[in-house]
Amino acid sequence: MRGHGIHGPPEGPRRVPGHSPAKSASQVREEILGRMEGRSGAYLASVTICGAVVAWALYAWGYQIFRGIGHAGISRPVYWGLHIVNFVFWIGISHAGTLISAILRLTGAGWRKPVTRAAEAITVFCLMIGGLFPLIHIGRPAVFFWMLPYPNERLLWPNFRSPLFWDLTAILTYLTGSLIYLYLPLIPDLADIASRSDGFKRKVYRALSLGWTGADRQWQALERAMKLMAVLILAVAVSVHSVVAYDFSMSVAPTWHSTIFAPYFVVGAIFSGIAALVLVMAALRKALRLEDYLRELHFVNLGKLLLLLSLVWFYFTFSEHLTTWYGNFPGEMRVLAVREHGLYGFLFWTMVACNFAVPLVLLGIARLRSIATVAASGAAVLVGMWLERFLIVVPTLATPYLPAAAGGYAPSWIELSITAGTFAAMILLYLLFVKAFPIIAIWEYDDGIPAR
Amino acid sequence: MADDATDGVREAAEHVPQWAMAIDLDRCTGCEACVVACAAENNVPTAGDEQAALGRAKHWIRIDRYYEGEFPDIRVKYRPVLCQQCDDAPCEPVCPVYATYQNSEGLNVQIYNRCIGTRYCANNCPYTVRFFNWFAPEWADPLGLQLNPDVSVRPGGVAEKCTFCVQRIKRAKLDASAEDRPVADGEVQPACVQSCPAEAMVFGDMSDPRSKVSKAIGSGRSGQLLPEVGTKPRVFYLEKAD
Amino acid sequence: MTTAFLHAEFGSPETAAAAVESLVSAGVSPGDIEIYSRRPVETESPLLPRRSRMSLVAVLSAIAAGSGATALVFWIQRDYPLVTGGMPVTSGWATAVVTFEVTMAGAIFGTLCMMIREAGLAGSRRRAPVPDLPDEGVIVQLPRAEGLAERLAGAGALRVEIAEPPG
Repeated sequence: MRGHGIHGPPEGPRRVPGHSPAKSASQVREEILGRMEGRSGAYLASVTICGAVVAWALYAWGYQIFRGIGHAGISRPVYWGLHIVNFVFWIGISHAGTLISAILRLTGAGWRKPVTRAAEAITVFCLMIGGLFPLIHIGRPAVFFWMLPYPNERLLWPNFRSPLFWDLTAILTYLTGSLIYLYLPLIPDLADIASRSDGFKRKVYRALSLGWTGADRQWQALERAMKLMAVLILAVAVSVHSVVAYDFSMSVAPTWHSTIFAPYFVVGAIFSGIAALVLVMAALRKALRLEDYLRELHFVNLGKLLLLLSLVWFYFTFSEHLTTWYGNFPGEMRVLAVREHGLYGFLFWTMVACNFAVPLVLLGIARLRSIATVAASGAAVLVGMWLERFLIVVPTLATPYLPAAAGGYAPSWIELSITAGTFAAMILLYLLFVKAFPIIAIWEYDDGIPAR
Repeated sequence: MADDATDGVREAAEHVPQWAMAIDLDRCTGCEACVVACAAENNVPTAGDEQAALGRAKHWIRIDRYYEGEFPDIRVKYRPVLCQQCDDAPCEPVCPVYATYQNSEGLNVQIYNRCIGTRYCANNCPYTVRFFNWFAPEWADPLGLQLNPDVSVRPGGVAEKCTFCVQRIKRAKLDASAEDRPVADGEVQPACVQSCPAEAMVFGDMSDPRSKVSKAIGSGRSGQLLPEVGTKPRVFYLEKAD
Repeated sequence: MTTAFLHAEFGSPETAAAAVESLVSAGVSPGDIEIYSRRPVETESPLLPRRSRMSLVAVLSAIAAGSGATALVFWIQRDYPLVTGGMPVTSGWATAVVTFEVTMAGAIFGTLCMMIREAGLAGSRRRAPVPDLPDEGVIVQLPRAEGLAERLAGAGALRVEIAEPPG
């Protein structure tokens, strides 16, 4: 590959639409803080629409809780349906953020500055959404807390051997870690906003900034903490999706019991995470007029990363299927047959096209690489990775060892509403976030932006 | 006879029975009397046409039918499938709240009021014999009037499955201890075993080499369902080797 | 018992660095000097090197949380010995993930606590007045003493002010 790879400086003069003037640090500050002001009609309309979809999804969830979980489409033997598909999907996307931002931070990639906070916010929101799904999924959500190890009068504890308990610890650790990882570099900006505002707003931001003064002692502590947190969050992020994979691979169900599921899921998670990140960045660039910050360079670099992960994903998928096919175990062969023919077959080949063919063409051909194609590949990969989760969860369950118990699955309006609601919730949280907090870390632009 | 009885009392203090079942497939006629008896004994709710079509009918024991040969030379084989009460049950460790575990008598027990309904156990059962209460239980009239008082009615949102009629095992143990004697072979009969007109099913203590079930297991015709999964089931199928 | 502080504004980190050097050579303890800026001051080496125990505390709290959680898990499993799936009642394999996650949670909380402590956030250290930050440039703060204001001005300070401590 020509050039400097993903972490290097820009590859000489590229086609730059328009021009990108140099900006001083103060100009950056004014611009970014300015983007938090004002709510256009389109903004309010988006908030209303997303809010309505989320409200509808909450109604569907309430319906499922009070009228019986049987109103969802799951049945025997497909006991896990879209709720679990969405759980894996959203937890997967959450790797966008923290993992990518941590890798970029640790490798000292200079171009990460406008990307990290947008990515870290994706992580936190996806975890909040994904973390809800176990609650949505279980039959008796009111007693969900029985999974927590709290002392009680019967000294009855949860089962620490259950992958679902591992999930609980992993996701709680990751959510806490990501929140802290998002919050720490936000503190100087919060203090900055407080210093510029007055009244109640000043009080809120002042409190949130924990009394940040800009002292050198604080900058040094922040830098040190962020380096440590980047290392920690990397390890936790890898473990979280491994544990989600363990939910499947610890079982004896045909094709689930696979030793490569953990790395396979982690790769898929980072893959879908980058896809979500480039989509969010493209949207932010348009909506908040961040053309001078989120430049083509950022998209092209992330596009190359996306292409790399597409190849790795294909490699894992190929290995997984080849091993199963060659092994020729009757139970697994039936799942393989179901997954590659009929309706699931159509979804399977759509997944391969979205996850492999589209990125390979759009991102593999250097001439085609642009903001638009990177964003398009991101959208395709999101569809493909959602289908991948579906194709892992459903066909296996529909094709158990004993053919007499085989079944099918069609999601009901409840699952579809909740699925739509989670996407709306993601957009809504992001809409609220960009108006409450600067989407780009202002203080990181200590030298402003150099001229292009 | 007297010696046997005194031996039995001494054993009763120490001996923990290991419950097992043997099903003679060469005797099974596929009549489904066991299915009906089980539903009546264990308060298994009826699902109704619509829900049954969705695959939500609950049968703690079911008859799997396998067809051999080409039409018209077809041979049908029936296999009653119930919870295999595995020694190494895949359903147990995955439950996050210990709603299912292995008791000392080899039963794979299910604690309904501890279950939070993750359905992980049901996914992880290679025999697909675990069921889920999609709704609060209902019975078509007049079945709701004949519920068994010894068996709890499961609320919506929890998993359930065959218990080897644990209520009958308990009753037999109580009766035996009241009379200060061990539980006799054949004294415990789960509803399916009791109702089988072909007498294809035997239930008893497999740790007692003299029991009928031990003899059936040792008959040379016995095998287990999906032994390759490594679950060590407590249900044995007797079948003439073809 | 310092009575007041000096706030000296410098136009660039470099001039501030030179001023700090000159102050230290004049006998001011580096621990008394503080630098305030809107953005992190980036120079070749830290202007005011400080000892940090953040990594150490992170490692220690990781070990404490991980071993504590593992001990609790093993005690619970022995206290309530339920057999599932033919597994041993306690086993490192079956609970390794829990050990790992709680270890990492310990490290994360250790880092957070030390960050707040070392940065003096959340009211954990408040003895000096807080200067208003200039858009660009750096403010050097130190306890007021004879002849220091002149030295600061001589080192290129744009302005030097006297600030009273809070409260």
